[in-house]
Amino acid sequence: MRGLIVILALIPTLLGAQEADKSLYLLSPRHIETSIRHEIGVSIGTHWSKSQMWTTFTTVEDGVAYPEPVFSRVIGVGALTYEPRLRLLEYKSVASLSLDIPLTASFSVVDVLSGSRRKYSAEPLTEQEINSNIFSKERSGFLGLFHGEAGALLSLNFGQGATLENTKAIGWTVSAGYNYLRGPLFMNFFQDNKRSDYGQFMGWATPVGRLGMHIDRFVLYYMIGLNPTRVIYQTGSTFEPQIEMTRTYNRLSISVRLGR
Amino acid sequence: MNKWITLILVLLIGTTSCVDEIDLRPFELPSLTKSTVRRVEAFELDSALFVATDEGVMLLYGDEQILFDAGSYDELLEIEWTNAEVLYAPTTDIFWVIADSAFLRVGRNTFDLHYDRTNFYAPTKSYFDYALSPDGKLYRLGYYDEVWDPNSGSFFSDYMIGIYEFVGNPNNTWKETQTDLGVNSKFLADPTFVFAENGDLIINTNPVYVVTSFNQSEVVADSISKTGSGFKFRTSYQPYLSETGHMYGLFSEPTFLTPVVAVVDHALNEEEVRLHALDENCEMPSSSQGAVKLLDWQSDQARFFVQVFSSPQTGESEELGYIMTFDLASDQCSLRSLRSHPDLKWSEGINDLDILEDKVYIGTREELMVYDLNTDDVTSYLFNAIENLSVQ
Repeated sequence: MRGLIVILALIPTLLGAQEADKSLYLLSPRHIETSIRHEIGVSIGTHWSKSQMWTTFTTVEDGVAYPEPVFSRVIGVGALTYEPRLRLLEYKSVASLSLDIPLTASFSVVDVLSGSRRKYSAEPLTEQEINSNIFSKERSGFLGLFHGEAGALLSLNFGQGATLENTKAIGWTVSAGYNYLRGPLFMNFFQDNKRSDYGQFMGWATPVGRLGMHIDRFVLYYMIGLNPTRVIYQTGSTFEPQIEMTRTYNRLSISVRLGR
Repeated sequence: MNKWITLILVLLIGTTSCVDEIDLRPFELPSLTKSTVRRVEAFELDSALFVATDEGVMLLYGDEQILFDAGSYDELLEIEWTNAEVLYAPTTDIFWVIADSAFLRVGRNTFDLHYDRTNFYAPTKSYFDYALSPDGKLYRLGYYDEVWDPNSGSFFSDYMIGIYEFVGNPNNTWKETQTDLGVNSKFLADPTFVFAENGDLIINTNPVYVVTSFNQSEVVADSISKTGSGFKFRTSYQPYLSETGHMYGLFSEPTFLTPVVAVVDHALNEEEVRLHALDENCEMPSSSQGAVKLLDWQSDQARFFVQVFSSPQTGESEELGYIMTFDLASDQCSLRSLRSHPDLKWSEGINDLDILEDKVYIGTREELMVYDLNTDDVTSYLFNAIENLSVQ
């Protein structure tokens, strides 16, 4: 979010001084087809993300409770993205500001895990279990497969790909915004995991930043979580502080421009 | 182009370095709350809670939890919690528990149990009251002598008040200050007292004494006689000095069998003592047992727990009891019900309770439970602790 604010703050500096010479073009709803760009992207094995900490998984040893973070994790095997990019503002043919909406469907393995990779069960605890100092339960098997993403990014584009008219060989895009992830889309039907039990762990939004390099009609993107959380915890077996980074996002993808 | 690349890299490095941090700390499991709870005392203004169970003592300072397990502190097993006086000194974060001759001090790094073996003046042994000074010292009040003037022609004598500061040495529990302040035997009662914020010690009897300074060589005090219809005033229990200058107290010491019937109210001047009868101002539910515990004071408002008796024999009741708020300034009274819950169906199992912020901590025969006043939900404290105590 702070990245987005920085980018927005830079706009007047980058473009404001040029307003007087009419080099600045705003999006015209009547000619929207000249301001929109469509991309299709793929990533294979370079896509993974973790949600924020949802709750804790607590084990008890010798009267001491050891809480670990519980989070959702997606590991993408392969993902396909369709991304409309709407140029809101253009500066000559050199640069532009665009609103990008990457929509992704991913074949991925989705799980809800603890820091020590125990598979967190959302099944309610019984009074007997609490009396027996059992405060967290494990399930078996992964939670489900496939997840979807929808993002909203504000991007600054320079050089190739920044405007229709730009003829530079290489271009750059830097973006910031939010990406919403939802998964698994299909529960693991080999296990008795109910979707209703895990509803609270199935959707999260994370602030992301993205860097893109345009070469001709191809774009190489790297998207990363901007505001991860470092969770420090201990387990009863190690006693040493452990670190789990949550609210993370990583994806390297390649896209191709459709049309002009 | 290089400047743009530099700008992009600076932006990326800058934004990805915004890392939040959460520290999950291991904590001692408050399993002692899964036993019979004997005492629950909350100190609302200071967010402090004291809980005594058959397996030990738990202190809460906000979210911080301190446990004294009776397995390690077996002295705790000897204390009779039900009738003990529990005080809290916010300046030192120390809880004081006074149970007969046992004086327990507990806090974050404090555990001290002292037995008082002082041979006090025999007729007054049971007439003591305790209060903490603003700097957290424990004081006790009692009579140190009885004086009868043979020439007065009266059967009445004067009981002389002594002020005792707790020193807690093995051979010397108290530092005594003998005063020339007396209570005539026709008003003889258990004098109670409080400290005002400025350190004045106010003795709540007839006459009322405002002791502005005292040491073993000199005591400076003003006396305020209580006259008129309030002339019968002798003392009041669990006194509280409100910021509006009223000294409030209970007409009798409440227990779960003998509820409070009235609040005694007098200003620190010669105005009459007023009695605010609870049943005249508050419409008590017919099923209630009356106000059995004073929970707290906020200015001129007192909150009481009004018990409703229910048991497996009487059948499930919709209410466990009520929180009664009584505004002494206007004699306005309101009741807020505590609803029964599948995990706490009957009030019979409630041993004690108190309020801290929007939660009622209920000590039952089986465990400490938490009643959320926002949702009317009741949960086990132990289970709540797992959810709430870990994140620092």
